[in-house]
Amino acid sequence: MESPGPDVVEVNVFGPGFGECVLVHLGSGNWMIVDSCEGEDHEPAALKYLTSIGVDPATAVKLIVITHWHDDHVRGIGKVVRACTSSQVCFSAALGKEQFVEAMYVRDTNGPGRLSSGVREIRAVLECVAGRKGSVIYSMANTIVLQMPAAALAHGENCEVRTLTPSGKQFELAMEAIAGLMPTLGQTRSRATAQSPNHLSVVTWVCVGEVAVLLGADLEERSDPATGWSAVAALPPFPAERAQVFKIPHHGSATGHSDRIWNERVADAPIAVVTPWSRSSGLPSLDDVKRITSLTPNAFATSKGLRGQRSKRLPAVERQLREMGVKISSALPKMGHVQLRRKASAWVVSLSDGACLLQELL
Amino acid sequence: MPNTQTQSLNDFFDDARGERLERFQLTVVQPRHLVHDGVGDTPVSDDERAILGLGDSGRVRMMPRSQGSATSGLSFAALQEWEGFVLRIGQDAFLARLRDVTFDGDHEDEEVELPLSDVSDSDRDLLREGALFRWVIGYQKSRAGTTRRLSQVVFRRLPAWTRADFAVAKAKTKELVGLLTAS
Repeated sequence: MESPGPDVVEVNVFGPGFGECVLVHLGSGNWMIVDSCEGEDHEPAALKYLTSIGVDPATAVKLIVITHWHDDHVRGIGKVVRACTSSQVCFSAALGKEQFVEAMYVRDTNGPGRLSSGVREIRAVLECVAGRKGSVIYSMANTIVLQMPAAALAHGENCEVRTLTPSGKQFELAMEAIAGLMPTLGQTRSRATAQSPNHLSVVTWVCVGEVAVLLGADLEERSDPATGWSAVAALPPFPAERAQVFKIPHHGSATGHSDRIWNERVADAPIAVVTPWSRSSGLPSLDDVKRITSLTPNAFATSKGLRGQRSKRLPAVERQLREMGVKISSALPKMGHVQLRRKASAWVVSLSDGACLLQELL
Repeated sequence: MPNTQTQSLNDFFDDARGERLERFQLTVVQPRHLVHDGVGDTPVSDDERAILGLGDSGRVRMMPRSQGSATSGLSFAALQEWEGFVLRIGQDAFLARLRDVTFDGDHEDEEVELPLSDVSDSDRDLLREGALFRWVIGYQKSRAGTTRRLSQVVFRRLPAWTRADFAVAKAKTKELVGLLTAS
């Protein structure tokens, strides 16, 4: 692959079936990253891609947004932040509070041993930023986190990135959830696991001139006007008003859907990208695929959501597994990649490594 | 007489990096009628016998029986071992992420849904989201030569969080937040 020209806006969505990462070229060699995932080689997708096209992450990446700390969004994010030495880091204001940091340290001290954890990744990020004597940008609803003037960009358009969440109420709910993350004295040590509902997820609006990209993270709708997509829909109009590209929230689930967002904040027939989630019964469901493809013909998936093949074991182990009726699957199928390049008002879509039209999941 | 027999085995594993893994107790609960001497009820192929004969090669490790074990003369050779944590608990099974300990995998690359019935009664109170466990498949051998293939899921009885853990975390938090806000 070749590096996009300086006047080209490029959106890359990576997803191996578990996890996601979005990498955006804002113009003139300036990039931003939202979340991180790894493929079979355990390299963060964003770093691998940038390196493959000859871009130095240390100087090119200006902003890293961490939408929340769940495993499927932060795998390798510590490595990403360490490599992107000139980047600002942004995440939910709730994660910057002492309550979260303290719970993070308690959980990660003598916690999961060599097993990874999302909390450990956030710790790596915070300690890296602190070591650089840097600071974190804390996200709240409608907060501008990056601005680049038209004069500095080859396409001659202003660039602005703003976070749309959390709302005030969502911040409070996130703090309550964080309190639950803190173990109690005497509790047996265990690994921190994802909390539901997720009130931490940071939604991002990327605007380059008239082009807008809505990155939905894992935000869900809870039928509460003060939280979720209802709260986003109630915000004043953003620059460019309607998104031409929509990273579908929460792996395409029904709980991530909002009619108001599709009707009021997204362009007609937008390019929609889903990052499937291959665990358990998986997402998106067939109904989800039908719903999304009925809303736009330009819907894509980063992978077919299939689980990868695991390695072969000793014959006796294979026999034991068969007798138990237990199936082990690879948690890291091949990394799919949806690439969108925009130049002269047209988007060119490239699908690679298992990425496909969403309707192929039907 | 109880119809099951419990055998406790100590974990003496060093991983391939020479790193001493946290010691834990492997508890094997098995039907009493299967604990007997004589001809093994599970055939063992030549290649498996060869593997068993390798001893502590890094792939197969003989676990000595612990002193004062309820059943004497039993040893356990692990063919395959994973370290895992519980992602979600369902009605009949739990979903877990696994790290291959036998082949020294550095990452949790695999997932499995294990039946709740594979969790021994003594471990039920440890089964919760985020709980860590070991899963071992191997051969149990008696002194008389009986060999049985076994799968054991053993939840780790990790120590509880202590006041010291909280105190250290508080101090680290103060330092980190101080560094971040000073910038």
